Amino acid sequence: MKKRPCLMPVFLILLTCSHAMADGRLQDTSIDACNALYHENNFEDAIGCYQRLSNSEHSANVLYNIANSYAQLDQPGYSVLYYLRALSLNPGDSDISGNLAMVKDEKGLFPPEKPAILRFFSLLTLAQWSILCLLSAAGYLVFACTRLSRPKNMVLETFVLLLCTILLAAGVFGAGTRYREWQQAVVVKDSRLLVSPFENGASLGSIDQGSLVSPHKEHGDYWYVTDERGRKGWLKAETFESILP
Amino acid sequence: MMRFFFKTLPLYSLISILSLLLFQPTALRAEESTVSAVLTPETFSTQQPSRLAITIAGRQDAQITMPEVEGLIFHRRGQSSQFQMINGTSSSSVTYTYLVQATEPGTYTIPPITVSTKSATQRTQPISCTVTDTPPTLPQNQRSQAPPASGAVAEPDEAVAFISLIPEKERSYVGELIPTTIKAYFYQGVKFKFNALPVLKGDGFLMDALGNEPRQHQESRDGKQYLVLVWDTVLTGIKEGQTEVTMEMDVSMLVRSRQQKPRLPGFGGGLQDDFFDDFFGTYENQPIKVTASPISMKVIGLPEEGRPDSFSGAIGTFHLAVEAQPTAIAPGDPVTLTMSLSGNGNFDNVSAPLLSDTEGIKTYTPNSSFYPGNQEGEKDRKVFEQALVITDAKIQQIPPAVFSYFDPLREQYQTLFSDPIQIQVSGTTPAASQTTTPNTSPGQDRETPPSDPGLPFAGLAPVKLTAGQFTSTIRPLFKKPLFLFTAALLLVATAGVTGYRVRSHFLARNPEIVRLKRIERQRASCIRSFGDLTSLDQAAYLSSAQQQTRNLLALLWGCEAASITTADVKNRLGGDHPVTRLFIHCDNASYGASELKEAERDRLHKEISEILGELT
Repeated sequence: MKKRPCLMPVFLILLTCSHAMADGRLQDTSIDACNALYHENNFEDAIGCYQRLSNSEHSANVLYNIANSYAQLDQPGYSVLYYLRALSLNPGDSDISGNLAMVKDEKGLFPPEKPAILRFFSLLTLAQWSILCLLSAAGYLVFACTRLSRPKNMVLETFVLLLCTILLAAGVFGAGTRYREWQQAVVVKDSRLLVSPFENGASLGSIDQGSLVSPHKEHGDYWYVTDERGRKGWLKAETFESILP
Repeated sequence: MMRFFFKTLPLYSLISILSLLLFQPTALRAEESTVSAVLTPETFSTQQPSRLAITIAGRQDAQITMPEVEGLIFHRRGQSSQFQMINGTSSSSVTYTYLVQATEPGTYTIPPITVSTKSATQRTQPISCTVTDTPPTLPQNQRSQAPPASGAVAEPDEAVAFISLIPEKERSYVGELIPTTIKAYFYQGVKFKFNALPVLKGDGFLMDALGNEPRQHQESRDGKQYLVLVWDTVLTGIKEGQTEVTMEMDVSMLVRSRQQKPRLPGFGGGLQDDFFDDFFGTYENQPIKVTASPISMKVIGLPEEGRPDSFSGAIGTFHLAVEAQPTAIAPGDPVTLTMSLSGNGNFDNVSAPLLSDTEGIKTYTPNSSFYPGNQEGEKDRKVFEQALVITDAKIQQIPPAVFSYFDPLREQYQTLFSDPIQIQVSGTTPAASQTTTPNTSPGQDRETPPSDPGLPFAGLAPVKLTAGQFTSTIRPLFKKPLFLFTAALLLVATAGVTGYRVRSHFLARNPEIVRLKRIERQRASCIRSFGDLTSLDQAAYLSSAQQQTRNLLALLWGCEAASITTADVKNRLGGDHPVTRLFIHCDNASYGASELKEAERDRLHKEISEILGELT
């Protein structure tokens, strides 16, 4: 009992130091510090750290790390959301797409098979479809320039014009389709689709977090949405977030 | 013609492609079917289910997603297809029948039911219904005291028409399917018109929907010949207790009217009255209710004793067959486990068999398909397909699948076990590595993956070690300024080149325009040059002036400048024309015949300058 008063200041000093160290680390917004929190399985603090690091800006790597942290917190909704945001910045990153697929598989988020036309447009990313538009226009321009001083060849010119037009149309439709996917939202909390935008509205069925929905119109705290299976109903605004912040 | 074709080909091609893309959805919409749902009756009791018919016109294949309504249970009771052709126009529809059972009285709204076909997803209108605590009955006084008005439903003489309800057994368990035969007898000496299918009367029992085309045969009973309609159906007891069950069927009996006909004058009664009554007599429909003798049926609850944990309500006799594909896999590869349950029983309540041990195996929600049996002896079959992922490479076999059911014949629970399925998992699971503080080095963007088995996602690709490039907004490429600038540049350049090519093409097809432009250019050049000639000496002046006008005349007359002689000019313009005089003076000067005076040169210069703009 006599030793207790002596130990108390030491304990308080240690506690203060540990708090100071922790605060210092939390305020240290380098990615190494955030990653250290992640590796200590302190995912909630890691998310806060990554978000401070971003400082309202966006980086594919940081968004990806946030998504990983949410995945480890077993919050697939936010995890899918941040993976999709990261993919929108860096669509070619196999780590992002691989982890997204893993989270979706683990949580049984299997979207229904898309129609053939949408599967075709999924072959390229939004940026690649956009570049295809430019390339088709540039290709036609180069061709037209080389033909300025040459006699007209209707067959060749028709073929090239048709080819460039098809590529341009594919690029425009492809970019449009992929951009529509960007405008979707991710359900971040398990919820239910309602027939009407009211708390006591009849349920149309459950909708898992991590599912994608397309919001259409707003009424109070609710949005009229269509989910990946084509179901339409009202969903509370707080239960989903747009992919584009 | 060919030229026109090739010229317009790109335009037509573009229009065709865009039309295909734009109007494809319209074409698909044209194939869309119509969907309707009807609940009959809309007011029913908790003890008497109602019938929900979902009719999809124009389609034979559809997937129906029933909504979840708290307090209402939907029992699927089969489907029927209709096809009709009227005036050469054919139409088809399929009707899915559900029995709607309510657990609590109240007012309910069945939300729109989603019907998915290959081309579209449609939804029915919401349906409101009222559920009462007791079955709706006529008031006692109304039942007993209502006078039999004209057209009232009459009870038929049992010898004329009756129903025989023949269940396979009269004692069953809750949820057990009881194969039942319904026979409706109609005396052949009487004409009948069938208004509706037989309906079950009895609380606590559900009956599968009857088909519109029952089997028919003739049967002799008590010396009378009957037409017999036979339906095979299934009764399901849903409530414990002793219940009287009967059936009713609305039919109309064709009865000859007994009106006294006025006799034709002059015919008296000499003719056979019966014959003419038969010949001229009229029939009228008399509605009757054909009923079955009530049968007392007992429904007992399933025993609690010996109920396995894996029991989910299946009652009947079942056989289980399980297979897996593929059996040689790498860690993480999915395996499809196909579990087939066949036999007789309440397949609506049959849920997927469970694996006896799921350690090291990730299981997903199974899909199920039901295949009804047939007359050839093939039994009903429900097939479950379940995806598995072996997460532990040490696992060598898929453990047995377990399925429990209640066998009403043996009156005890039975549990089926499938044989374990040997699988070969190549490689090993990723070795668990200790969590280390990442060491950032130039060019290294990721670390070795940590594998903490306690984490929900141990196999995730690791976090990035560099923050990467930050952007203020997530913007698609086509909204970025550089892309927009490049696109605008390309657009302008393409428009410019195209315009130039169109102009060139136009001028090539109109050489007269080109010639006129050249003439105007040459004329302007000639007028400009003429002004500068006055400072030259006489010889140089005459030579230059002649060359300038000769060039202009060559363009105007469409000939070579060198071929224009003084005689040509004189012939075309006349002897007194200033240009003719210029040419004459040039000829004279070249031969040294005369010399042009200063004043005359100035006058000639002035005259030519004035008419240069008008030369044709």
